[in-house]
Amino acid sequence: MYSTNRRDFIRLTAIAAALSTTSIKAFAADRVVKIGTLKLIHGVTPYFYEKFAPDGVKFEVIPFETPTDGKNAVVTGTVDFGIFGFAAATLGGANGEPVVVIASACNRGMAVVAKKDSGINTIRDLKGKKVAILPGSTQEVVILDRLTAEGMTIKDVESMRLSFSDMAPALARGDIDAYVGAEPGPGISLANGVGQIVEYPYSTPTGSLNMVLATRRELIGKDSELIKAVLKTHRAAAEYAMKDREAFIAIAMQKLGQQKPSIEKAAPNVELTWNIDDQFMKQAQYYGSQMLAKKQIRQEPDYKTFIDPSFVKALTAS
Amino acid sequence: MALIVPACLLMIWDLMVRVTGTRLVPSPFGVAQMMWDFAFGGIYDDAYSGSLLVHLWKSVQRVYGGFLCAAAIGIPLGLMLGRIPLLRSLLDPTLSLLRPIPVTAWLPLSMIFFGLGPRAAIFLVFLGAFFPILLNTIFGVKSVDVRLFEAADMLGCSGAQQFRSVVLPAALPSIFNGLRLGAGFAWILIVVGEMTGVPEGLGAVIMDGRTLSRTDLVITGMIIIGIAGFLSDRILMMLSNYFLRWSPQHHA
Repeated sequence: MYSTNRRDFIRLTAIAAALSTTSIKAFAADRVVKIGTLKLIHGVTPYFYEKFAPDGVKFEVIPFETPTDGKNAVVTGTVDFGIFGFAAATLGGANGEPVVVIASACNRGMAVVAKKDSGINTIRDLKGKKVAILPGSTQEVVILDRLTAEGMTIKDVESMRLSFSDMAPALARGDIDAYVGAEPGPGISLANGVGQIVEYPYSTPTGSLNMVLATRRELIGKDSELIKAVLKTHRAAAEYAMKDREAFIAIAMQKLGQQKPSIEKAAPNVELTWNIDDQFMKQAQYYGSQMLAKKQIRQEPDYKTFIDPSFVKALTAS
Repeated sequence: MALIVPACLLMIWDLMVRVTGTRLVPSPFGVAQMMWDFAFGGIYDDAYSGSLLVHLWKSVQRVYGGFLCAAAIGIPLGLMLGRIPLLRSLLDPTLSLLRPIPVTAWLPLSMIFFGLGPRAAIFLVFLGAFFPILLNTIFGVKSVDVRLFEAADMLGCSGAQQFRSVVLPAALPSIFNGLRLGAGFAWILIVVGEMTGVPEGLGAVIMDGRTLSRTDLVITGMIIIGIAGFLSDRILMMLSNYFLRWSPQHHA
């Protein structure tokens, strides 16, 4: 029977203490900043952060399946920054959660896709059809707006809740007639010959506003230097990825595990961004008013605190 | 007496929400409002107002569809496996291999077999309820005292009649045990089954609440499922008491 005597115990404690201090030292050397993003082609910007990382900062990218999960990760402090649809951010902001939009992340990246040769060529043709929509997504807000513009409501279609990554396979299996998806889903459906684009739904006053970069309020008060550094990186990464298409496609293939043909179909429908300009503010407020009108939120967020353009403004001035 | 613990839990919950100032978790009052709105409408007037019965009815159909299929196949199969050693040696290894696979792991496959929609949910509920029902039935049949068979033989009772008058009554307590366990699992699995591609049902409401950042809706769905599961267990217990009224020791 083996037992730990007192001397062994003291030795063990000393070793454990020594080991833990070394790891603390390692942490001090490099600050690890966690960035949450969605498993979408327009969410790949953080994968380029490492290339432009400021000294003493290491980025860890954590992928999420739905926008709301990403928003919750930011609010609960699981990640320091998060990239997700503006709809999820607005859901949190309207609830009074401490989520603050500090930069834009991408425009476009959405598409309404129907089965090829199904005769669904316009939004009106969706009447009575099975359409996959993800609640809480920017796509949902946009399609509700498009339906209104066509004189229809959500009750005119049979909506099904599917996450973005389930939409293309469900269309291929024939479980749904159409979906309101996020790239690379539409790219996949085009590349495998299953789907056709009904439209890229950017004609509403929301325009093509899609995803934003957000953080939690407490970090803004506590660590504005870090936020400045991260935004500088974010801008450099977005501009680089937009210039170097090959690198953008390569990273997207690697991180999303998709084939080149589908990524190439999806890439032109993506615009990585960083700035918050007057148009952004206008679209954002229209967005909130739409969500309120559709009863997705009970009051609009306080835009003065919910969107904080001061950091990107400082970046533009520098 | 029974209310002391829930009341304390509610107070702690309310206190925690106030102290932390979290906006992600609603207060008990917020959930009570949501429950009222979900059942009768009139407060928020959104997509979920007054829709409780629709969602509950859909879920009940799926739970009992899957559960009754599991009982219809599980009980006869269990009775046969318990009585016929040849069948047991034939099927037991396969069943033992399939049993440890978590039912949730079947979700991707069931979506391929049955496509999107309620059928995949019913299949998962069926799988989840099937094994407890089957195993308890086998156990019940195998544990029938051998002397009872001898006694029945001497009284000239054999074959099918023996099965009806000896095996079935003796195995009944175990069978009901399996049914109660199975029904419990059925309610657990309905949330998984309704995760994707069904617009209505309590599981769908909980998942919608998650994606819409409406925690009050999530907790409301959880409470309703809890109540529904509790009631369905009570019904099974009443049935069990009725069928086992000859046996004082099996009165729950």
